[in-house]
Amino acid sequence: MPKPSPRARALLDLLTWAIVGLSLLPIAWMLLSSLRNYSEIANGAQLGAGLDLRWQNYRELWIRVDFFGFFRNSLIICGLSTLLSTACAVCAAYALARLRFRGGNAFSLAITVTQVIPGMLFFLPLYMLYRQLGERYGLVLLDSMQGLVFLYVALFTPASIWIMRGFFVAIPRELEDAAIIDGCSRLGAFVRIVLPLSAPGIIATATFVFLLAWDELFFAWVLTSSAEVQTIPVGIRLFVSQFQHRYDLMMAAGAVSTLPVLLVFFAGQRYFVKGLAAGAVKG
Amino acid sequence: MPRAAAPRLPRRRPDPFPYLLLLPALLLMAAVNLTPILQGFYMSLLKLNQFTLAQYLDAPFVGLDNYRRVLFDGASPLRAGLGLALRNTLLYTAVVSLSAIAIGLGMALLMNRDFPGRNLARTLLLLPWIVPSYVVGSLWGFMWQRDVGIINTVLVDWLHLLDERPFWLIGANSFWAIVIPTVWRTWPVLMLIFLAALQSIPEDPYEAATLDGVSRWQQFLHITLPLLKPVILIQLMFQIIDNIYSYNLVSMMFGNGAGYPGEWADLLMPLLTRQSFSYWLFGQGAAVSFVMMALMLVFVGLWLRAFRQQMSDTPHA
Amino acid sequence: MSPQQPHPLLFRLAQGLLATGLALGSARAAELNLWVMSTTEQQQADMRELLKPHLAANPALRVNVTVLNWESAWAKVTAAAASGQGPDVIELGSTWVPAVSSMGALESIGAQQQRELGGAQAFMPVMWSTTHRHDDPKIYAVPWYADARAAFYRTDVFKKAGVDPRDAFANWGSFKQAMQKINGTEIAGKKIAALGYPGKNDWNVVHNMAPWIWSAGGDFLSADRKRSALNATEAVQAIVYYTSFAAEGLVPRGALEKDSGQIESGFFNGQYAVIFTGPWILKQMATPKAKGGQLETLAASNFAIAPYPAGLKGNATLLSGSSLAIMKSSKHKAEAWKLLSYLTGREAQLRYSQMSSMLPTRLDAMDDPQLKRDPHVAQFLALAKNGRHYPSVAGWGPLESVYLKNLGSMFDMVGGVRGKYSPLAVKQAMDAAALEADQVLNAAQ
Repeated sequence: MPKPSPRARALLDLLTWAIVGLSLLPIAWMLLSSLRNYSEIANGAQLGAGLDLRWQNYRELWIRVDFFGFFRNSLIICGLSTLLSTACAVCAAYALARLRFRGGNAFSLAITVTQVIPGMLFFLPLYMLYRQLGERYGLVLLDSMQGLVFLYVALFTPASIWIMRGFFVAIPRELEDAAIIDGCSRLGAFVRIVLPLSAPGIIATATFVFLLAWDELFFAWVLTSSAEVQTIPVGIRLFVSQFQHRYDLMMAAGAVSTLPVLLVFFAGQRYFVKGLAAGAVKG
Repeated sequence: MPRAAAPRLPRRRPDPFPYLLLLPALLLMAAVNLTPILQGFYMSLLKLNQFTLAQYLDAPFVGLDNYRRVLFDGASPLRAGLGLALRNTLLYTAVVSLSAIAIGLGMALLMNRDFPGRNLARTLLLLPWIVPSYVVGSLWGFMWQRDVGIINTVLVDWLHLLDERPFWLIGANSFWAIVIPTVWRTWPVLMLIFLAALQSIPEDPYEAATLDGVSRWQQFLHITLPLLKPVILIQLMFQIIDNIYSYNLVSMMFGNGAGYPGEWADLLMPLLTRQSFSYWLFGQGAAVSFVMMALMLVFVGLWLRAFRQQMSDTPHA
Repeated sequence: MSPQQPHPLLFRLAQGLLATGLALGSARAAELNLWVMSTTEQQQADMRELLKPHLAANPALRVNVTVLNWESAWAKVTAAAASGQGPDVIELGSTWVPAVSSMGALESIGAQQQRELGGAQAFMPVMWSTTHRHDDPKIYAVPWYADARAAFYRTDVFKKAGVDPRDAFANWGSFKQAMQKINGTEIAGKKIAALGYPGKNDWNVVHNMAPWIWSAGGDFLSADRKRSALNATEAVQAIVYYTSFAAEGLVPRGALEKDSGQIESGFFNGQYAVIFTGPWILKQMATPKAKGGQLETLAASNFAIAPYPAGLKGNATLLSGSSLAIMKSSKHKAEAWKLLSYLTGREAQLRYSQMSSMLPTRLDAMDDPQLKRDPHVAQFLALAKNGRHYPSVAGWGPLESVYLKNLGSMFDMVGGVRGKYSPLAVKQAMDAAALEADQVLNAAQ
């Protein structure tokens, strides 16, 4: 690209950072509000009260609701969903990217179809399915962690296959072919050559699934009713309807439930940024 | 989806390996997608309401009557508000998708330069995208408050852009109350994707163009944009699907009230959910879902057909 | 793939995951599942406390309490009714019983069982009327607790403005005048608004409007319960009167985007001199701040309760509440009945009333001297006698949604964000609402 003048460069840098700052303001506002006194918030005087930060809001939040419980449930459910869904996606995506077989195109089409099914259409049939499995086989899927995990794995696998596929396509085929010529089985080549090479992609996909699962509200809301299995989104929504006026606690709850995804994101960021982009670009 | 040519396998009986690899995903999709779709389709042919709900699939069969009702019968309760929700959803999808892509692209261009703290800026920019959507709903619901919300404080008290404090959560403004947070949360990830695509574009064409005296704007129009077109087309398609099916934000921002966000913020998915549960017209609800799904499939099909060639001309990273 | 045949591998996997859950589940024979709504701040703990005597008397019994919230309960009750699988005993809002019973999900309560409780005459008649459909004598639920609505007003504000509460709450005319006089009174250097009520972003839109509509002589359905009556002159008058407070600035405009919880909180914070709400805020105002209450606020030490001002046809309040029902799918109906009759019995109702500050539904519990010792509760008990409830029709659920949406939209008009507010515009909007409501009524038949 042509080099702009130093002054133009400085202006552009400034503009970039201004946008960064602007887009972070709502998050800063959430953090600030979570540390204010709630009657100040109710009177719209968040900024007027100096910098006396009420860290006890976070403690109160913890005492008020069993936030730790929701947290633990979300971690378990999202963690398991991530593992299983990524594993399924890796297998299927490899087949789609590398192997030629009858029905491959049909499968790709099916993946596309799953992306446009309205969630509401699922609800009753899924509820009935879970109930029948419960009655006939004693599988507790309603109001249970395994029920949500199963659903999330199924829900997020198709999109993950899409992302994973992009990675496999990008890995030079020659490496694999060479291994096969050297007497490696196809499975062996997959495990020993392809998987290690696609580690960034796997991490990216896993991060993606985790973020999606952490964000799922509708099914968690309608399929669970006991606090032992409810996830953070449900907890927050219950909390909101019970303490509508406590914006300080709501914002604290928001900050707290963003934290785990933030950590996951930072942990996977190096791969994720590269990975998601590559996956999405390849389509 | 473009698929690279696979190595020629010897023509014997079909190799079970690919099918074994697909099996877990196939089973899951069959259980959670196929069964519900089939049952859902069957439901859409039944008179499934409050009185027949307990019979579920044994409810009276009415053929395509539910479709007739939701499409043509002005007296169907489920239709009340459907037109408005459809209008809002289309507008919302168009505004959110286009502006998120435009902002994402613009920002990717800004970020595709060397400047101090570039990596930090990139990470920070992604933060809004990481905030869960249900948090986005309650956070913005708080910021949009007329009397004590920070947005009115900034617009009215600090900047004096407006004389009177407007309502954001009721009336026509509520459309912007859902559009703006969605754009805010969506563009960062698009920026990331466009940035990756930009970085895969080689330098040579720009150098040649600069030597020929082509302006930067012309370079963007004639070199960058065509090269990014495939990525933009794919992302636009995903954006459209995502936004048409948007649920969380509206349900969080208005759900702790009546769950009726008013005629300017009601989107299809929240409406469908609300109506299905409050009217128990599950047969008609399923019919609406199917009409929606069919329209989306047609859209995706046409999109892929129209742009498949261009979408596969992806620059390689 | 048929839903009856899960993949064997998947089945094993899930079974493994479940081993612990199942072991717990099959341990005892008499295990009841009870779904209740979240009414008190610590519902789980309070329920444990409430059930203690019953569990002590029935050592073989185990009760799993699931606390639902009003918002999510609707979807779950629907699913439970549709699948025929749910808890043994379930709490249902008084407006829900007709609808859920019409789904065929509830066990009817026989004559003998009713006699055990003392029969219909043992309960507040209005509450008893909510336990069955108007056209079906079968009883499907037993009233558990009730709530009525009334005005909560700031005595200090009334005094400072020189308004006598007795005159203020006498009738619609005097109430309007009193609000005009009070609006903007300064308390501790801060101007207070006369009245606070929420707009459309609230679950209570219909409940808030109902007492006014009834007081004017209007109603929600025609006498034969077949058509909507919301566009009748009396109802429209009431809606115009109620909304006029916001249109004339006696309710601050900002209140119109709030919900009931925020309005109540505004009352505690000294933003409004009067709000109309239920007895549940008594509990909040008696609880110290350290425990999440409002005891130390100015409002908590300077409030009193008054009935709704009288319209042309007297003054009514909305008497609603909750009932307990047994689901048809219950496998332990005898135990479920025992639990239900314990919870709806006099002692448990009194105990629960103390926990939640809701009112009992049994007349012998309402007369309890201990309960009446709290003057505010005594006032609510007296008001409850004037209470009315919505018509007990199977289609009330959907109907309430239509009313909620349409009455809610009024506030867009009042708030000046849609169309121009005028009595004529209200009438037109209510005509449209009645049309939509009639369609819903037809669909439910």
